[in-house]
Amino acid sequence: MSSKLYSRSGVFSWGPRGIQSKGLIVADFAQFFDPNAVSVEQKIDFLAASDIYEKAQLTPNVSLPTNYRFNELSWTSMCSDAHPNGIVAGGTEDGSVVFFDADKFISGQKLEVLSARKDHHGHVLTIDVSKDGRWMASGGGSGQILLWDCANLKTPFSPGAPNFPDQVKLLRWNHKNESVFASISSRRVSFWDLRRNGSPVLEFAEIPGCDWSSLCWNPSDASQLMVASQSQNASVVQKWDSRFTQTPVKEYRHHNMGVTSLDWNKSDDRLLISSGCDGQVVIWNHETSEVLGGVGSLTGDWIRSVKWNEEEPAQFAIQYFQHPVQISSLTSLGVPQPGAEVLAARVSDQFVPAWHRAPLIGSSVSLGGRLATFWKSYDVMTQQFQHNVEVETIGIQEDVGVEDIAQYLHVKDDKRNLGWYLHERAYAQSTDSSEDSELRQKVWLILLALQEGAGRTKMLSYLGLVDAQNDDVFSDHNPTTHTNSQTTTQPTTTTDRSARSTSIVSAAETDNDMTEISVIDKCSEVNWAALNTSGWDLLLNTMRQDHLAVIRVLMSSNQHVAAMMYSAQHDTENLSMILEDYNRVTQNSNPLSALTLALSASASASRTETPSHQHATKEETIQKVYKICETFPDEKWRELLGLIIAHETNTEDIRLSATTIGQKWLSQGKNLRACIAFLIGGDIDQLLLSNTSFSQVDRLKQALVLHQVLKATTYSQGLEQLIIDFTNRLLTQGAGSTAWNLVKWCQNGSAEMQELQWTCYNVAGGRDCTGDQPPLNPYNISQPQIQNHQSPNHPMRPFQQQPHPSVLAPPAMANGFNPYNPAQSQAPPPPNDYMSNRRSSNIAPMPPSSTFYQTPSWNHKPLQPPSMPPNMPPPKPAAPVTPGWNDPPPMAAKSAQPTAPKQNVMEINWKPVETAPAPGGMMRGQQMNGFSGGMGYQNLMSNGIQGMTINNQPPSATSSSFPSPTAYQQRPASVASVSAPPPIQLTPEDEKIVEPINALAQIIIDNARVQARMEKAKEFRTRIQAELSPRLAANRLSVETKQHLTHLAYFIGMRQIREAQAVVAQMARNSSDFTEISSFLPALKSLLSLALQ
Amino acid sequence: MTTIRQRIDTQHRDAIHDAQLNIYGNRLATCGSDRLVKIFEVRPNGQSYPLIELSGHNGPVWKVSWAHPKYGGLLASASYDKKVIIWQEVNGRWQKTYEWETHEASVTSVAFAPHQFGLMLASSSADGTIGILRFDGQTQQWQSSRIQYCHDQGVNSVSWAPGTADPNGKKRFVSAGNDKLVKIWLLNEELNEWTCEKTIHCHKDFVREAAWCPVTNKGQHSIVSCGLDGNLVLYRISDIDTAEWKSKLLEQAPCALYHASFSPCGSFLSVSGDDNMITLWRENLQGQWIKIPRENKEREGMGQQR
Repeated sequence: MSSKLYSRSGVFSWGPRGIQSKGLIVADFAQFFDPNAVSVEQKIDFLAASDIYEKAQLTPNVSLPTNYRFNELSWTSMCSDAHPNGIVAGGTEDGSVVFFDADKFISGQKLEVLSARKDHHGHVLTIDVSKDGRWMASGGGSGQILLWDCANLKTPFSPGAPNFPDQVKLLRWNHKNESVFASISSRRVSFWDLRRNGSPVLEFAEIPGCDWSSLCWNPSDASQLMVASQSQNASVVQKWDSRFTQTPVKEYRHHNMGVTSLDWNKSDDRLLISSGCDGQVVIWNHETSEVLGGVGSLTGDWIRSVKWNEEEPAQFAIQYFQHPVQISSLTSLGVPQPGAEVLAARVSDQFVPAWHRAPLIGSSVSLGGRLATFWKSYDVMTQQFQHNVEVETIGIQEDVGVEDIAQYLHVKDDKRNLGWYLHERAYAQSTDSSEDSELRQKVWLILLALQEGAGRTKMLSYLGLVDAQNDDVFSDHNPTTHTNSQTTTQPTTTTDRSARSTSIVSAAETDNDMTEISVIDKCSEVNWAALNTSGWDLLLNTMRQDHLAVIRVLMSSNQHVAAMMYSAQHDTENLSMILEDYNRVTQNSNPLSALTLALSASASASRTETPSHQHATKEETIQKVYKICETFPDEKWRELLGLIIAHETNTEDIRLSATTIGQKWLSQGKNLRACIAFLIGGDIDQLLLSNTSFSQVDRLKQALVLHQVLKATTYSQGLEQLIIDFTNRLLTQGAGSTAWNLVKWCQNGSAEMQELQWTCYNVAGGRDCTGDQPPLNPYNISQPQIQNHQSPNHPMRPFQQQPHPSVLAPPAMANGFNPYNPAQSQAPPPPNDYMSNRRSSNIAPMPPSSTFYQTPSWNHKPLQPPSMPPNMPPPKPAAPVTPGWNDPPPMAAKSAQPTAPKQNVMEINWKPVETAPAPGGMMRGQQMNGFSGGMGYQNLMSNGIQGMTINNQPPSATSSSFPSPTAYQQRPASVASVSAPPPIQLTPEDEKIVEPINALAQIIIDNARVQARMEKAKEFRTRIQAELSPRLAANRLSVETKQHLTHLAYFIGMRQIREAQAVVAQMARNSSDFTEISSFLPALKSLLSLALQ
Repeated sequence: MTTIRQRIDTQHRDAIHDAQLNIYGNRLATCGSDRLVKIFEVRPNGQSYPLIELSGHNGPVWKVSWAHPKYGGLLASASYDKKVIIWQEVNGRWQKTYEWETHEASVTSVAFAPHQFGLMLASSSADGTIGILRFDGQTQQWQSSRIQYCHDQGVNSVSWAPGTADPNGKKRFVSAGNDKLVKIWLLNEELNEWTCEKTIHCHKDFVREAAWCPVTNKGQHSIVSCGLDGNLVLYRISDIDTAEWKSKLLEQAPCALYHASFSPCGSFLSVSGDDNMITLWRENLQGQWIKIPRENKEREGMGQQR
């Protein structure tokens, strides 16, 4: 909402879209001379768009002297290697049209004039560039119009002699059709078509009292244009439709003195700007005739022209006769220019320009993978737009173990179920028989063992060292009964072992009162590497507590003393046997030995152990374990663990040594082994370090089971981190309740954990859905008390805020705002004018009501050829027209045909200017064509058709063959009901479109029980055949329509009638070649609804 | 996993411009051309209940933004009427708590900063400025400031950099504008001044939205921007203080793109544009963003509507 003044006055041109260097070109104005000026040097300036924004004072970036003064400037966006920034053209006062290279000019090098032919007589008053940038048209005195090819500036084209001698005041190209432009003289508006030589294709708006001064096309409707009159008596702006040129569609009186200039905003086709002789610049909405705002303008001067900036839709510039060029914006121009505040543009808050529009669709995602989507849709049934909001949970195919962890959480408190759960894991069938997978299973086994509190023996058996004696893994026997049964199977075992606790984990209670000599203490002395097979056997047997076997091994290797000692410690009953054997081997007959034998038998019963052993310190133990590890052969790792489990008595020591071993393995990279060691060692953090080869969910479960087994209260650091990570993953997966179940057990967690708990609780749905008590709200402490700031002494208190003190608009601008005299807007639009209400906000325009298409238009058609090129008006309605629902639909853009290059789009029938007649010859052309100003529409039409490049076959009424489209259209409507199928050559693709439709019709006919129904179907079929096939054959339909038809045929072929209907509805709404499809669409629609019944 | 899509009858009388879930996904705020902001409660099963209808804007409301739940129920809305309004829930009742009208043109977007930065929000406007509102805990008042001349021809969006636990962490945000640029702004804490740290040229037309991923991955920041040229560009930086931003074109859409936003975990990216379609992206383990196939119900019956 600001304005700035340029450093000088002049005629200007905004840079077109598609040009790199954006900005404004300003040059001297031909019809202005300042006698007080210091210098008469003429200059042409360039002002960069960024400078407009960033600088307070606008001075040219480039300013080059020139010999020309201009009436109008135009800048084409057609770029080439030679002209990377396009070409600027200007109409000068001496009749020459000057073209110069924009790039060289903007870069400040020089003003390289490409062409300056002097073909006009007198002033060149206007020049404009076509939409595609290829063509320039210049107009001037004596009704002279010339066409310039920007790709070849050598020779301009002329339409031939003009049929009127008036000045061409202004000339504007159609925004949708590259071959059509309109020009105005004081008395009339003329349409020109490049394909049509000689004279305007249409002349209208000859309204007495009007002195036309300005003209603009609707940027989104090829047939609509606005003209303005500068006469003081009739200061009107009129909206015309090129298809109905008897009277204006609408009239606007926003200025109480003549209107000098008019421009239609390219980005919002509701928005126009106009300037008047009263010095006012008004911005208004042509649909509602509402004045939306205006600009402060300099008084005491006339405004010559206003133009929107195509690049930046909120900006426009004003050319005064004497005052500097004013640049204004509906938003902001950045750094303000001091003193220019009064010139600021203002627009009603109620009006939202279309460039603020975004497609009405979007989404947001929250934790828990919940996605909220909003979008606009069109409901065919109610014929209304709907605005939808939906919430959904995003499902991802990727499995992170949500189910898995949920299952675990479900069973975790049930010992038996948890056991089964682990059992499944441990004994899962694995195709992979590598060592790794075995180890993985082992890890689960050990975990299972820990979970069920298995005894040492069990543990050893799981390690694979001892044969499993009891496969009943999930027996309800507690560990002690387990060992009891073991002792009964081995009655030879003596009491010395029975007192020892068998469960490593639950050993704590039983072991505490019994200290024994640590095996580690001793074992560190052994040279494990030197052990032979019998040595390992021995070790295994010791683990199996098969003492006899041990002793036998020892005896067989003549180690009777060692055997004796072993026996003395473990199984005194064998002592006598050893002695006997010793005696036998050494032939010892000493009676002493016999005595010993006898003694030992009795002594064994009363043998007590000496509990006075001092415990080794941790460090020592670790040292010793390391020592063992070093000598222990690598492949005997199971034995190492077994040794500790079987022979170590103290739980603490077992854990410590297992952990130590694990660390050693971990450092060697034997992670899975280390994993087992850590499980035995009960070290969760280390476990998590070593079990990285498992999936995250498995790691988590292992850690959690271990945590559970250890009966620990708080989560260890590593576990907590893992839980947090995993919970976050769960949240992204949308498993909010699982996440909550996972974290809810955590007590006294870190701050992060507490936050996570609170988050999960809320994501899971709070109390209502979880049934749990809310966790501690971590934010309660930090919540600021922001509600107090509404205290009365608050400087920015919202509720008593003063109205904005600046000069900005009063609130009710839409209705009351017109500081420049009330707008005498035209009579209200007809009540049924759907156009006027179709946009009250920035929603995209409503598609025309489909009832429009349902009107059986074929009954009184085709009187006129409906298949005209898009630039031509459709047939004149037969009935008197009320502008309203029956308005011709907006002509959409000609769809870009990728097949044809631009040059070939149109045929130029205009002659090069060399043949242009001498000024005297101008009037001759008028007679030649026999045109008069008030020429009737019909007449024009027929002329127009002759000018077209379509081969016009003479309508042969007697011919039995189906008429070609053109010919057909010229036949009376009654002929339309010919039943003969058209012998039209269709391409296979087209055949695919037509064939299912015919088949559908045939089915309806075949199955029709009612005569009327059959008749109807027949009629529709005939119509579709008569209308569709020739169009396909003649390739009249746009690519888009064809695509739609292909879809339609597909759906019909699939008998998906409703889908087919949707396609038809879509065609009716968006098709660009309405004139073509309107001939067969209603029949198609009716056929489909018939099929549906 | 089955997906339940639950329709919410918002009862908006005109176009809906934004629908934002709070971080927990249990509250939904919508706003639209009927100048209303509405809040709904959303249950995990998708059921929803309207909570409140907030009126106070005089123009279409473009965007809403939830503050971190740490600050209680706090919602900001940006409207065409040049106002930013902050709404607060006090004892279950919603009311306007602050209204800010300093922008000279339509406020195009609003975003609360991560809670680590304190209670703060940024707003972007079509007048080319960015507004910063900060709640001063001592005076219990909102303090406002504006960054002038951020983007020629208007700023379209602002998005904050993720917060860090480090209280001295630098505050940054990213903005996108009609000058086809994406700019990263850095707060100089001493001068209390925002400076443009980096300007990124990656678009050929208006940039409609730039979104900063709300989490960092091993110190790596990500930004995504989308624009009318249909480009969806990802920018990454391994170390925000020392390294250089690297850009990568994720997708060249055949139509203009208008919205791109990350989920709170940074795991999803949702993009929507002129084709009336929402595409979801997610980052795979290799750090590549891939599209997730999704049933686009939005597209039904719309076609190439303008």
